[in-house]
Order: sequence, then C-alpha cells, then structure tokens
Amino acid sequence: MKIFEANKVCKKIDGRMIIHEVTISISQGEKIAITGKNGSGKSSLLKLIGGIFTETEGQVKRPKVNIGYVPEHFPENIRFKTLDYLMLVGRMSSNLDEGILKRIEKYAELFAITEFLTTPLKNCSKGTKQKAGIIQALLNNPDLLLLDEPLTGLDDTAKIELLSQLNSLQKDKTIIFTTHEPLLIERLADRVLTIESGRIVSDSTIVKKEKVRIIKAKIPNRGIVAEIPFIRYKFLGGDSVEIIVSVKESDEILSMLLKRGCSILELAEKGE
Amino acid sequence: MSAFIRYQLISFVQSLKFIPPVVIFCAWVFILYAYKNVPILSSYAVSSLVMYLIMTWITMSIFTLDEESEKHILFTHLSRKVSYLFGKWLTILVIMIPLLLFAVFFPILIESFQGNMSVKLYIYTFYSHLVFSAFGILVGTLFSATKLATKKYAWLSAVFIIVVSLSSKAIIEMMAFSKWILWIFPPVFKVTEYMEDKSQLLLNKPIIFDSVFVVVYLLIGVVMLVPLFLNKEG
Repeated sequence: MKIFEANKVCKKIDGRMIIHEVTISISQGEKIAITGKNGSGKSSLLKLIGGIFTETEGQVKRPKVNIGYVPEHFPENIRFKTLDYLMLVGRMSSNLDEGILKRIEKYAELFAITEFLTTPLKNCSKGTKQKAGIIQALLNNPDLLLLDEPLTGLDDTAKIELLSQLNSLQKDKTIIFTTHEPLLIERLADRVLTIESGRIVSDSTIVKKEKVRIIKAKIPNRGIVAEIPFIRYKFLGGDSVEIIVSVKESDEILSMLLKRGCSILELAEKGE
Repeated sequence: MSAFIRYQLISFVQSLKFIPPVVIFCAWVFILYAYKNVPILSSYAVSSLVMYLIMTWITMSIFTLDEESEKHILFTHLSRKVSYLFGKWLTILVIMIPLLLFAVFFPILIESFQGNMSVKLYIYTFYSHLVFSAFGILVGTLFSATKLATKKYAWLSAVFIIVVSLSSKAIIEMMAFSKWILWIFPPVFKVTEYMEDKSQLLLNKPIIFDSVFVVVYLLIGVVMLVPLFLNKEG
C-alpha cells in the first residue's frame, strides 16, 4: 500500500517556493530519513507528507491513516501538566480512557519521565518536553510517524531508548524523520532522501549486507528515476544517473530503464 | 471533539486571556443596569452590541492561543484541519453561553426593567444576543484564523469592521452610495432597528425578512471562512 505519492509537487509559503517539483512515492512500512542542510526544506517536506502542509502545485495522493507528528521543538507555552496534556491529546484520537492512561504510564516509564508526569510542561527541561512530544505522537497509534529532528535535546540514554522504541514498532508502520545524525540513519533508515533548496537530489535505498549492482545510465528526463521503486540513485550531471539496486531486482530495473528509453552506460556488481 | 474543547478551555483559562474581556463585559452590564426602570428592548440592544465587541475579542484570543507547532500536533490528533476550526468555534460557543445568560437574566433578576418580559421578547432577546455573538465570532475568525491574521494590523482591522458596522446607518444617511459597499459588513441594524421601541416588539414582514437576511448572511460567512482558514493553514 502506498502511504504517500506526489507528482511534481511544489509548496510556496509567503511567496517563497519551499518545495520544488518533488516526485516521490512512499510505501507502507518504509523507514525514511530526510537529510539536507538547514533551510533546505526537510521539515516542510515532512509536513507535506503528513498533510500538515498542502501542496501549492502538483498532485498528491494521501490515504487516510493515523499520523503521529513530533515537531523539532516541542511548544514552549503549553499550559498543562505533562499527564493532563498527554491524557487530553490521547483522548482526541481515542475514546478509551483506561487504555490511554496505561499507555501513558508505560511510555513514561520507558522514556524515564514518570516523575515529571505531575510537573507543568512549562517547567520541564527541553529533553523531557521532547520525550512528551514523542509520547503524544505514539499515543495516536500512528500508521505514519513523522519525526522532525527527533534526537534534538535528548540525552544518550533517551536516544537509545527512542531508537529501540522505533525499531520495536510493527514492521508495517511507516516512519519518516528529518535528521543530521548518522546514528539515526544507520540504525533506523532503509531509505535516505537528500534535499537541497527544496529539491530531492538523491533518493537512496539502504540495502543492508547484500550484493548490489551499480547501473550507470543515460536518461531522457530526471522524472523517470523517481518512478522506479526499490532503488537509490545519484545524478551524475547532465543526463546521466548512477543507480544502485539489489542483485535480485537488477534485471527488472534494467528492463524498466530500457522500456523508458534510457541507455545503459555501465553495469558493475559490488558487495555492500 | 470534547477532549479538544476541554483542552482549549483549560488552555484559555490558564492563559488568563479571558480576564480582560469578561471583566469588561460584566462591568458594562452592571453599569447598564445601575438605574432601575430601564426600557427592555433598548437595554438588550446595548448588551447585544457589547456581546459583539467582546465575542470578537474572545474569538481572536482563542485563535491566537496555540503556538504553530502545538497547532500542527493538534491537526494530527484531530485528523482533519477543519475539525480544528469547528472545535475552536465550539469552544467559543461554550464561553459565550454564560455571558449570554448573564446579559439576559441579570436585569430580570435585579428587576431593572419597566414592564414585564413576554415570550416574544425572550425569543427576540436571545436571537439578538446570539446573532451579535455570531457576528463577533465571524469578525474575530476573519482576522485571526485566515491569512488576514498574519497582517500587522489584524486587531485594528477587526475594530474598524466593528466600528463601521455599528455606524453604517449614519454613514448611509450621509453618503447614500455607501450602501453598495456597506452590505458586506455585519448587518447589525437589521437586528437593532426593531429594538428601538422601548418595550414593544411587532412581529411583521420586515422583521421576518431581515431575520432571514441575517441568518443567511451568517451562514454564508461560516461557509466562506472554512476555505479561508484552510488556505491559511495550507
């Protein structure tokens, strides 16, 4: 099942183009890291995927799924105690009161914030607020979890706990996160999107411990590559692209490229 | 939705932003009924106008309560952005109810009126207070939940709309052509002109036509605000 599909999507905010002609397809269960420099449009792309932002141009397909969203900076002026806040947001998306309290207590214990449940959020440290932000997203039972720089403000123990929590989520949960941290990409991501000035400049799938084939091809237009699943690619300049694909899928990808009018320049095999 | 409304109410109360409008409203009503034997309809017309002002203020405070990232979190929990708008409106209605009841029943309880209330007067009194509150909610929403909210003079513009709508009758008398522009402003005089008579209310065709006009105006206002809100939050 596709969780998000975008075709030549642009997003303009206050007259400034933040996202340029993004064509992307995200399947259920993918763990995607969005990387790029500050101000490159990572957070905007994340919000666009989750429907928090709507596209200015282009077509988007976004099936109705539960979304959990963790902002980069948890709101500073929330006027509730941690438990009251989590209970209220939990109830917005679920009607089962008892279940919510138990889940809050479980997550609070996992993230070591039980002692802060009765503390006003305003008085909590940045790290505790960030943990509360992650818990509120998990309370929504998300099919799609969006995390904007989730490790910001977390101590090492909390970082590891968050990673193990995210890894323990069911395989069919889709997780998309923006990050600068190699740790998160290494431990969690199976696909990495690199964004520069609002454009996706690289879309690579991490094929772990598997032999891969590197295909260098000449392409009639860049959009073609975005339509091909299970690959990571890098534009080499002009009309050339380097595609990395697992050995299993390479024949099918080669045939897809040829059918779309691409010329194969080079083919090599390499261990990951 | 009830959890969202509770969230908003607690947040509003704890922000203390309710104090200035509520205190001013109560003070205004106390002063209005400081004298005994006041006429029923014109007194209620004044308290309705005060509701207009105060509800604009409260609406703008409610819509500016959440930080940007807090709002984005709430969107995901509510599933639809439009539920956020409806939830805010329901919260404002919950805040409006005690103010409206206070404005209507306070003078009756302290026996300020000359004459007695009738069913017809009760109906029109509730209608006028509700309509003026709705005008306030529309104006407040327009300048705090649409792209106009990002403009520097949002609060000033809201006050301008209120002042122009309240003085529209005088403006039209001075400049007849202005009626072609002023119809877009909340039609306050289509409600208050029937409250000028001290304690008599005649149910006739004009009052019914004007009431239908006012209700249609409010419905169109609500329908137009939804895409304007979604456009801002896009």
